[in-house]
Amino acid sequence: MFLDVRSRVAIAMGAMVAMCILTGALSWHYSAVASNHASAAGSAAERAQWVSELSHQVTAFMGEASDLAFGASGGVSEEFSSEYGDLVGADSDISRMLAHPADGMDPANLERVANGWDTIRLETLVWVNAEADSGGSPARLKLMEDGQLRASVSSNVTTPASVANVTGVELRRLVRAHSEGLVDGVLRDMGTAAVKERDAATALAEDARRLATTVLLVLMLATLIVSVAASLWLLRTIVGPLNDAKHTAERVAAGEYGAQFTRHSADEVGVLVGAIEQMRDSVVSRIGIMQEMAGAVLVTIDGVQEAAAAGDLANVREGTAALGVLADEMLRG
Amino acid sequence: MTRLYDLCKRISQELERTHSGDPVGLIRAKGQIATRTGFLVGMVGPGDHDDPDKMHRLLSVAGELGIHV
Repeated sequence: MFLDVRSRVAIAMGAMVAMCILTGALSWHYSAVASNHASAAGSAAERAQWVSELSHQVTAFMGEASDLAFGASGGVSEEFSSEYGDLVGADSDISRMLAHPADGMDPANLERVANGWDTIRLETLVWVNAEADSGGSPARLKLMEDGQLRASVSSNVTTPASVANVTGVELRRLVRAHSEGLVDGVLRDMGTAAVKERDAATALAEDARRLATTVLLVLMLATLIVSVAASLWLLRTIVGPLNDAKHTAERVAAGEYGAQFTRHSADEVGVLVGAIEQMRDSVVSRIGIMQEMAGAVLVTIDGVQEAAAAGDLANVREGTAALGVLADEMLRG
Repeated sequence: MTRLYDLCKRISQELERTHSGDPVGLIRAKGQIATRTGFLVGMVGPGDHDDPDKMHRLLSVAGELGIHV
């Protein structure tokens, strides 16, 4: 198939550019895949952390509530005691966390957790108040307008019908069972699922990163091979014929007028070599003509010398005139 | 390619062969042919017509110079 030099350079450059684009595109793709998996792993880790923190806060809340119910903190000296800040803090933190869950949480699970927490919170209020009524707890729990709890000498909580006839001991068991059910049941399952998801996403991200590295290395090697092959192809089809022409031109310059130029192809290089060959033929032809003229001059001079030696002035004049004509022809080229 | 051109080429090649290593002798021989035929062999091109007179003179001078083609 005939290809001119421009087409060959375009093909070689196109092949190299295509390999570079392919390398860049695939590297970008696999990097993006790895980034997505890493992002999913990060999100799962945040959910696991959220679940762990919520479990911790629920446990802390129950601990503080138990301390209050069993009178571990002594008496309440003010209407709104500051001695139960940890209980109030845990309650606030749980409310805040439920209002702002981690991204990607299952709404059904969140609803189960929120409902469970509402039940535990209400039962705890009733339980602590019941313990206060029976003289065990030094304070009651009061719900403020902002929704927060405070330890107080009185309570504004209405006991729900579901636990209206339940004793303090039974309430304590009920609250503990519900809190353990929340922490060790729903929250643990959610935490375990988030950790598994995080580990799976981390493994996928690592696999994608390894694949991206492998693909990049393979394509870089392929690009190198294509580049070298394209360069060699151009070298062989362009520089090779030019070098041949150069060597032949040097032989001609050294006087070897019969040296033959080789035309490897009909492309631009072949056309150039043909033009050089034509120039060589023209120059050689002119040299031959000049040699003939020079020879004619020599022969004519010989004739003039012989005529002069013989005193033949007519031939001397004729020879001299012929020399003038030859000189004129030579000057005209 | 005409016969005159072919004849000129063969005579030139024979001159080159017989005077190889003697450039002045080659030039003198070419000069002899030019002065005696009245035309330059190198000026004859492949498209020039076959002039019988030129061919006759050329063959005659070549024979006198010992060139047989």
